Amino acid sequence: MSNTHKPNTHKPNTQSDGLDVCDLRASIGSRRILSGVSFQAPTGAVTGLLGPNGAGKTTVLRACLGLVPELSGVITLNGTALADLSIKDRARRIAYLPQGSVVHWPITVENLVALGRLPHGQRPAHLQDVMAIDAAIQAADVAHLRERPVTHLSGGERTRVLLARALATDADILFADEPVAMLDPLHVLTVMDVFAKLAASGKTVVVVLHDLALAVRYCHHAVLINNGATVTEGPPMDVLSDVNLRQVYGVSLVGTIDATRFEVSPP
Amino acid sequence: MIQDLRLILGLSLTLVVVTVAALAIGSASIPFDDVILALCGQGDPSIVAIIQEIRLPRVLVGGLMGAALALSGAALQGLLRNPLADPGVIGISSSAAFGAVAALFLGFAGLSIWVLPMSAIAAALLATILLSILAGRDASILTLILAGVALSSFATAMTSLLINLSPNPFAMSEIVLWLLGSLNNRSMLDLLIAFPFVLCGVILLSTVGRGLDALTLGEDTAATLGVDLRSLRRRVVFGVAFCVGASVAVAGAVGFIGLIIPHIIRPFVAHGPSRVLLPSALAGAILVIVADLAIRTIPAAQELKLGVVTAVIGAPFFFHLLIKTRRAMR
Repeated sequence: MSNTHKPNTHKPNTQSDGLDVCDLRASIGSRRILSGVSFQAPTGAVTGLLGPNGAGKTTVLRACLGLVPELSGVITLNGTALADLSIKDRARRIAYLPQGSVVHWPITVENLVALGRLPHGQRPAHLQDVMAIDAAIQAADVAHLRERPVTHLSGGERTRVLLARALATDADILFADEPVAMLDPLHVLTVMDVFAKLAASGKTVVVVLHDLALAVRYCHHAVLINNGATVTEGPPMDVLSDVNLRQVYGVSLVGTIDATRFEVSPP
Repeated sequence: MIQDLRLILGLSLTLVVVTVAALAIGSASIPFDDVILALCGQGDPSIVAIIQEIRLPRVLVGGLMGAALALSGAALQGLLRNPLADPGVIGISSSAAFGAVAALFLGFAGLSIWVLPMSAIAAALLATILLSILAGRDASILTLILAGVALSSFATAMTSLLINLSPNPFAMSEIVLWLLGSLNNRSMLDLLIAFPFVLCGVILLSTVGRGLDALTLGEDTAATLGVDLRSLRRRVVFGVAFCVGASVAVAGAVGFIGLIIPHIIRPFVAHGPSRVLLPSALAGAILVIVADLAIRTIPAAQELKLGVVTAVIGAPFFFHLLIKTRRAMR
């Protein structure tokens, strides 16, 4: 797996492809949540956003989605500042898979995935919409659940359905917040493979992960965040060095980080 | 979607049939042919008078009110993502009633025919805004219902205060009877007063479907799907206030329509928050016209009030829904 590492300039680079986040700062009330987060997420790569609980990973994602009020800093996507995009444009270019899986009405899986097409304006009558929905359902491996009400699914099934929803938008960039937390080993691989394929097709993927071995295996680029600030970014193996692990997570590594790994077994 | 069209068509046909039946049936039964003739102003002048001046306004006001209340309920439930959010249950109707009673009590209602509905709408608006603030961003069912109870009790208390202070027993009984909710003696003028406001409300609520669909995934995801949440919230709140305020202004406080109807419709439209809107409006109109027809034809010493009948049926239904929802939430 090649690492598309770019130098950590910490300046808004309007020429760059992919996501460029520069000096994000945000507070909720008097509490400082982000105090200087900068990183890049290159196009065609899976970027892992890593860090301990409460580091500010989710806030970084929400900031990139325009969901954090009173935010300072510059976020550019493929050379365009997000602040300059209209709500509609942003919705078409950015997809979000939030943590947890709240669905408020017992709608069917297919109807839920179709919600991903809302930013494109038309009801799913257009061929393009139907194809995007189909492709997303296949990619997330939920075709067999198509007609089931979402509220009757297990947590893991629902996560994959919500992933299909995010994929259906066919955005330039996908932000996923701990997407594999509730999944069994096979579906962890399924979902991470979806991200890898998405990146290979020229999209940008930013994913919050807690499984560091998974990050080493699947991410081309890693960003380590602690206490609301970037510690370092670069190739995952470098970012997750012994020193950083000890400092940020308070753990030390026994053996090598990706010594145990699962593969999809042949049928 | 074909399925939705079929449902809408079926409900529309039923609405027409029910309307004609409500015109024909009453203390004096009028044959179908004569009803149609009378609608065109032909035939026996006494029949024309009964149809055009007594029964037609009553049926139209009832249909309009039923549609407005059911649509409001469906939209509010979509916004708050809560099947128990009915304008009656959460105190919007009683606030509107308070607005109307205040206008009556203070004598402003006599200034212009528009004062009463405007006052009801203003109170409904205030209540809806207050409620969305009280219930907060992520309104749990419990918070919402409790906020509604608080609001409803306050509005009822203020209304009671006005009744208590009313100068003569005649005015008092007038207010109390009006509060019970009835379509008795409605005229074309009532329809004329309510219609523009309900129309405004319906137009506002007809724009919120996509936003409500997106809200199925919660507020954050809805925002990332390109929904302007503030605008959506404002449109629902104003739309509901117009619909409920105008309904209460012409027919008193009739509750539970917005609770029962969307609940019945939802399974037929695969629970889609936008798909439930139009069929709910049609079914709401049907329900109120049928309920009013039943009230007119059931022999009783005193004519039953529409608001009383919907409450007697609606409150146990509310219990049923509450138990069901609570089980689902666990």
